[in-house]
Amino acid sequence: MSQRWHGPLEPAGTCRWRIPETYRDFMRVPGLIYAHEDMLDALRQDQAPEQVAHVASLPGIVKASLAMPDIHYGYGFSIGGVAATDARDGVIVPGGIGYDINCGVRLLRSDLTKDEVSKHAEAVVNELYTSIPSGVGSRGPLRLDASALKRVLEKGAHWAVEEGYGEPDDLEYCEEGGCMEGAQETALSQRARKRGLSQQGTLGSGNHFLEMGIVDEVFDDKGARALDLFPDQVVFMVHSGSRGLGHQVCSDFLNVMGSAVKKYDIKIPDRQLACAPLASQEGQDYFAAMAAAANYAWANRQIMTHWVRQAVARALHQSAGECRLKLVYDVAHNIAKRETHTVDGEMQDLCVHRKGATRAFGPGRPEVPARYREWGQPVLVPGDMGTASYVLLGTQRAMEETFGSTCHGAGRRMSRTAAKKRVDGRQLKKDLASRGIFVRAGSAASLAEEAPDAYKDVHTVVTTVEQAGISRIVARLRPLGVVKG
Amino acid sequence: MIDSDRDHYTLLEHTADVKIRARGDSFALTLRHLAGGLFDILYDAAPAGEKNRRTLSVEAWDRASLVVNFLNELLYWIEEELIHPTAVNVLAVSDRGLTFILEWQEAQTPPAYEIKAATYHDLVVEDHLIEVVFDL
Repeated sequence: MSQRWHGPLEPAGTCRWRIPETYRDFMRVPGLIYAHEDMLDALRQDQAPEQVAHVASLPGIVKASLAMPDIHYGYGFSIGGVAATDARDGVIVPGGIGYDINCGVRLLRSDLTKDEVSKHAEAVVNELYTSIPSGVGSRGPLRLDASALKRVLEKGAHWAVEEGYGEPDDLEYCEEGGCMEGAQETALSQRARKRGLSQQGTLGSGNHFLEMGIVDEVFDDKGARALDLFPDQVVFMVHSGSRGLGHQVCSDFLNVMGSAVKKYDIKIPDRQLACAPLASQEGQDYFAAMAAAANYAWANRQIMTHWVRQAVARALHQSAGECRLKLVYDVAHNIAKRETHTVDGEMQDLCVHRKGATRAFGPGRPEVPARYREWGQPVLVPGDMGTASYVLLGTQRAMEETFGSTCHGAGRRMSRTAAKKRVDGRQLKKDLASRGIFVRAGSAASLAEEAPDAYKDVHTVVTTVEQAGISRIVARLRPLGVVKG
Repeated sequence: MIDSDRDHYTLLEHTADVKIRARGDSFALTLRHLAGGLFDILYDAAPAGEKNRRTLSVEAWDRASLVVNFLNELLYWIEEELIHPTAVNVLAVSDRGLTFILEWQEAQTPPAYEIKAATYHDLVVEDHLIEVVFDL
């Protein structure tokens, strides 16, 4: 396990801890970690705060290297890391996005209530498990040819809807409308494209999941009404990303960036932070490839959404129309975006990296769907499979402090190896079933790795971002059934 | 996986991921044991069927990227070709190039993990010692 971190954490306001710029010679800006005081001991248990300091060294970084309360040890960036670089002379960092480009989560609401569904919960989970390919290296019934893949990469979720996977309304409720501009298929290697041919419409493994849950408690009546959420309402979540195609893009460009740091004489404290100026050819090529991979991920979640609608209808012996599963929102939590933010009183064009962090735009931003604009952007924060997930809204404070960013999940606190040693997957499945949570997983081992005990307390994480003012808690969701990859 | 690899690698804990430390009498042997460790954590069941061999090469621009590219090459073949590699035999290695024979059989089960990639994070590359974090 990584060594304990002994660096400075200075109080910087409610749930805010600063790593001063003077901590390391290479820091250009301070680090700022959002954490409750009770989290500090856990925060120091590994070198994640050192990674926050490392990110502060990036050329063109603006204001601070940020980390959300679900921070944990990553590679290059910490998980939960946010960094904005100046689009004119700053860098873009593949390690600030990660291997699973546009890993993200979407929430579907239904008109169904807990009472209508609870006795069918096991049937719904079984139907989801058999309808949607999941597990290690999962491949689905879709086989794209080169032409179709090109359209996926350039059109994202729009391609899926055009092909009959979902409803046109779905697109309005995705970040970027489910399609990032600037994507270029030609920016991907042949190997990356090959990996994309057979994995569209697949969940994958690891922490990816499908979940059926209910709205367990509403904390913000007006916010919940804006999102059409109500107590005991049945909801569904889909968590997946860009699969092997995204992994290959990241690996390919780490090689490119390895040479770019020498070419542009960029000094970095960790090779996983290899980068290039956004305006350089290498930076533009990476942005085009990353956007294409992000589009692949949006299409992937859109296709699975369609299959979720069909599976739920089959399990409940209804038509998909009767189930009325409507998309609340789809968020990306591993991505870099060109965004405009006010910095020191002036509008600035930035490249905002979110690595295990969620965009959380506040009220009034044009990027937020018109229906939600008065309230702020919905934020989806999955917890662990035995506890809860949360729906939040972005705030003006987030716009002012975090480039409109917040947490993305509970954050791991136990390694996968440790979780497998401590948790018996079969017993866990029984324990969860006894609490009314039906789980289907690829293997007992993969279930054990994702055990609730392996994660931090999601309540503390979302309470922290609310106390810090960078999000508002709207509702808590409780799982009824989970499909793990 | 050959028995001798098992004595030459260790699994180290990492919060979200897997880390392998391999040791060997030479850089080529250290790479071989590192690959053996990777195969061992990926498969619980023994492979079956005909034994296959393929000669593969990777290029890089220094030793660190050579190790990362070598491991990512193995991961690509595992995921894309659905094979169960059993051993790596290094034919030639320099700081910028590696040629090796990959031996494999038919996988009886999917790999235990979907490993996204070998990373540069906390990477240690010496003649007789390599440590690598894999992103899961």
